[in-house]
Amino acid sequence: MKQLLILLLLCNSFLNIKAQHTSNLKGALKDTSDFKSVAYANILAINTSDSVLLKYTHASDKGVFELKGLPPIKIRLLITRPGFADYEDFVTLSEGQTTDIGLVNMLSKSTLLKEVIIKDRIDAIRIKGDTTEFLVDSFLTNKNANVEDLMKRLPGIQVDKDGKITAQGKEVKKVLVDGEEFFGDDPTIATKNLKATQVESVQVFDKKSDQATISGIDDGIKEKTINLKLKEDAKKGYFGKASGGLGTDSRYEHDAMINRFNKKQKISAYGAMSNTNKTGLNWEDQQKFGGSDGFDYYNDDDGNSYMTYNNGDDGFYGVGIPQTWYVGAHYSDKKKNDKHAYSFNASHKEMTVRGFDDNFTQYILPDTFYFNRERNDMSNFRKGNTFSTSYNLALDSFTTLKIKLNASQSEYNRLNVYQSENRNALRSLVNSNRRTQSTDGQREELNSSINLIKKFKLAGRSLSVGFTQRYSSVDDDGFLSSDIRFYSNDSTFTSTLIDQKKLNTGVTENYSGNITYTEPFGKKFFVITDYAINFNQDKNKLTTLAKSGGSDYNLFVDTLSNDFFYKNVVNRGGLSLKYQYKKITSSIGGRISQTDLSQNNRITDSARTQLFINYFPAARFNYKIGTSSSFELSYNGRTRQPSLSQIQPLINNNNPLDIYVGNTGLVQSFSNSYEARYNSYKPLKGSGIWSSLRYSNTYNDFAQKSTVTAEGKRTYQTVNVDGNYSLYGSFYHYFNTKKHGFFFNNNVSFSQSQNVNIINDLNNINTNNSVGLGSRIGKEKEDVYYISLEADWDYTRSETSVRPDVVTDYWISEYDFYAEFYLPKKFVFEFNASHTRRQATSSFDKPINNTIINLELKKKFTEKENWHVSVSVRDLLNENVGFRRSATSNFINENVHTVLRRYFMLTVTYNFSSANKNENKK
Amino acid sequence: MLVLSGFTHAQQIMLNGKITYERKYNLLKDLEEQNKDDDDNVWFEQMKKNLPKYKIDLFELTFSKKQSVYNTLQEDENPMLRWYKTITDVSQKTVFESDSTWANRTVYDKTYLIADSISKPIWKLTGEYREIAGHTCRRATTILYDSVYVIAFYTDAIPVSGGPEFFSGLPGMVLGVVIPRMHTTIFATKVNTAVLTEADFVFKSKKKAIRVSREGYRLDLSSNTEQWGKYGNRFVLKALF
Repeated sequence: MKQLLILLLLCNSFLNIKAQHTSNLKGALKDTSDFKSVAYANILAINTSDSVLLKYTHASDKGVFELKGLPPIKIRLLITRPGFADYEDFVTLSEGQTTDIGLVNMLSKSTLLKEVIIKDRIDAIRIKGDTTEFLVDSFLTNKNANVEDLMKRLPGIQVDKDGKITAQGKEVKKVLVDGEEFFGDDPTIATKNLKATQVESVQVFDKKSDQATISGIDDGIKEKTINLKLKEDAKKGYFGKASGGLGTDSRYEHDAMINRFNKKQKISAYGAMSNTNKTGLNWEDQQKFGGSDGFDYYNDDDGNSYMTYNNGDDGFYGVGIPQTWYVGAHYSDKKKNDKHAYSFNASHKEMTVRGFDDNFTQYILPDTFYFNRERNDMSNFRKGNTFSTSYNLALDSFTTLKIKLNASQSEYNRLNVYQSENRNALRSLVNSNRRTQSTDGQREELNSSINLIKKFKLAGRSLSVGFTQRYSSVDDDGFLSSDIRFYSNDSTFTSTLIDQKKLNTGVTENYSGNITYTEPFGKKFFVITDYAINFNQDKNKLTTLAKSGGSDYNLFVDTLSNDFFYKNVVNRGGLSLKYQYKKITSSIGGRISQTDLSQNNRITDSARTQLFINYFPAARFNYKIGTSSSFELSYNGRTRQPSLSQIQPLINNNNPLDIYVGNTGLVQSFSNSYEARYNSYKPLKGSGIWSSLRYSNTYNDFAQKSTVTAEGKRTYQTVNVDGNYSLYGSFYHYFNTKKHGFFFNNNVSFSQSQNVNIINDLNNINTNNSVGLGSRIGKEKEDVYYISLEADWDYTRSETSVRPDVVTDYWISEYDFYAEFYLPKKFVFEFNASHTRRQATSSFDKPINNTIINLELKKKFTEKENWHVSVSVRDLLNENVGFRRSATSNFINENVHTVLRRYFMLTVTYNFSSANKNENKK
Repeated sequence: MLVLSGFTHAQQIMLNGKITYERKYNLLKDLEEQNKDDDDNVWFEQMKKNLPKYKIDLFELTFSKKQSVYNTLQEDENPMLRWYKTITDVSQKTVFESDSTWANRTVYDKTYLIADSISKPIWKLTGEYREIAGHTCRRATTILYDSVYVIAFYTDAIPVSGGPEFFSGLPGMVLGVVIPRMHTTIFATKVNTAVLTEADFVFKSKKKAIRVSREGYRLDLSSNTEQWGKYGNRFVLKALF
């Protein structure tokens, strides 16, 4: 009984639901002309209030139809069929009843003769040809109005509730902004999103169809179009920032920059001064304020794009403490729809770097060791000006011309004070050297290039032609004073003194031209040919003067002076065949180059010419697996010719304990390198693999032949050797744990290499092995926190055949913790701690371990968040050291140098911008 | 059956045939929108010069009164588009009688089989026309996923309630779709009648495909891209259209 009741209730409720849509509508269709039934006509029931399509059906073969389950409301009945005029009627349906509208007569279009005359209502404000223009400001009432609100006020234009615009009686199909399509096909996007105050005028005209514009054949179809002409100042504005930082130890870091933009014109200026490691504009500021001249962009065959950023060589590589100031300005503009684009950049920079550089080197010799310790106290100053300009011209849609020019001028003075000691295996002093080298000079450079790139209608065919010119000149004067003491035992020594003046001038001129042409054969094959010629000329003059008794340097030292003239002409041609289709990209080919070398020593009046033919074969095969994985095999071969200084060096006694001698018997080397790569990237799983294995070997490789005397004096030269190879493998894997949101990055790498050198006439084979392991785990929540913990371990082992008993091996391990928290009240907290352990070795008896902690607390102020205040400390424990270690042949080196240590800093930054830009940003 | 389908005269009704659709995605407009906060971006400036303006893929819809099959005819093979091929292996089968549809979609590394009833959005008719591939089409609009405005054009000359992908639920065949927010249009370029057999409607699901409903597909993509931040939402929308 109970069950029955439930069942009844269920039925009842079911019926109740159905009862809401129980109205039906039926009818039949007849053609008025031939009285046939009208099959397949579309029958639509449309809600009168919101135009929503409620139900639809198709008329049967006999022309009858029935729409079931309609709500009991007034509906718009629409019956349509090709060849017939639309039938439209309003029907009020009653609940639970079937309304029969009976027989509907469909009017065939062939019998329909009706002329429609559209009356243009032209209440024009300004008529230019067939364009009607409304000036916006005279129609504006509300500052916050959008374009749609504005349109409603313009005479002759109607906007309905859906945003549909009718102008002069016709529906507007397109709304352009400054002549360009704003946003696809939907006109309302532009009208609803643009503010009326940004618009200067509204132009209404008939636009030819796109088809006609493209084909050039007027098909007579014209669309009513509205163009919104924006006010000039809508694209005008400025933004910039000013930042000041003061710290303990009189550290400072100040910068200010501003960018003013007006349509595509950009003018910016910047200036900065600091005595921290911030010696130039960072990537972001360079883009915003410095223009794009330092950026290079290129694509490869696989659809990858790369961009490199070169902010110039300012002479600071992390050794020492820099003190810098610089100012710069940038101007760029684009004209005629980006056809012409030009830019100018100018900057001035001054930098002083002071610090020391400590090198500890172990020489592993067949029968003994030497230990060399050298300290270099340096003070380098450089000031320079740079200027660059570029011009891009789009001649037509297929051809672009790029012209670039840059010039720079710099003055420098360098002072290096070296103190070195050489000790033998028993750690007793063999020699010592104190040496001061000072140089004052200047350098000038001028480079320019012209490139023409032409594409053709035939996809894949392309031509590029380029010319490059480079000029540089160096002119410097310096002094070398040195005192070398050779110890026979610990108490007595003989001393060698050098006191010389050095005058050095050099001019390099280089001109090159290249042409590359690609021709497709079918859709899959391409032939790429290229030819280049390069002309290079060097003039180098070094004059060494000694004192002739008095205090003046007027004694010419011909053994330490030279006057060189060096010229080479390289002709290079290449041919390669590329196959590219769907998953496979492969290519095979190569280049041949001929080098004509001629040199002339004007002091000894000895001339010498040489001819080298170099080969560069290459092959590559790439196979794509899915959209984001690929496998690649590649081979590259190349010959290398010895450099001028290897054959006949400019004689140099800057370090009298380390002398380089030329080798005229050197021949070319040839290397092969093979690589296999596999990359896989799974964005949805959040995982990826990058792996690579590389092998290369070299015949007649260039190597050092050294002779170390009992006094610890080294002379060396370059010779040809066989048996050099290197093997390198790396594997990188990252993944996410979906459940907890952790990310993991892991990498493994190894390398093995063998290189041969000659030490005291003995062939020495060095074998180097290294293994690296790294792992990182982290978690991130956007705008809340970011935490990561990383550990890296590297093991190096180096052996030499002349002393198999001496093995250098050590571990270097590094642990890094980084955390960033976005706290309430616009606070951001950043914490970074890293601990590094460098194991002691047989050569370096002390481990070097340290911990660096950096902290920063930032707060953003004001509603616009344009004030930032930060308090930070770098190297809280004051343990930072500059450190490098290398063990690649029988010279094992450890370098310790000056770096910035603990300082606290308070930084205040103000970001400003014109209101308009601010709105755009939000 | 009436032999009406042999003619392409506008007055005639087509009940079975093949339609070629051109799907155009305006890559540059999309990039422009993503970079509008950072219009000085050098990278973006360069990308604009090197990327093609559109990614154009061709599809074919084979239809009868009873069923339809939608297949990729030609994928855009421009190598520059390598990183913009979010979705591949698109194919779909719809059986009108049983109100069911199956769609293959490979989104990067994940392959889905979306099995569901035929999508029936709430369409509004705006009483406008547009000619597509020689057929007069009526304009209808809807909002999908609560926020994406979609414009569809259907023709009453093909009284089959189908269309490309999930764009259906109108009295006639959908020949055009415009999705302004996704910078995407799908327009028929060729409409032809054809005599079809059951073999023309063969559909194979991909191996290792994950079977989901339309909503399940959306949820799975959302959960997979949760950590991508704002870009994730945009990506999910891209995969849905």
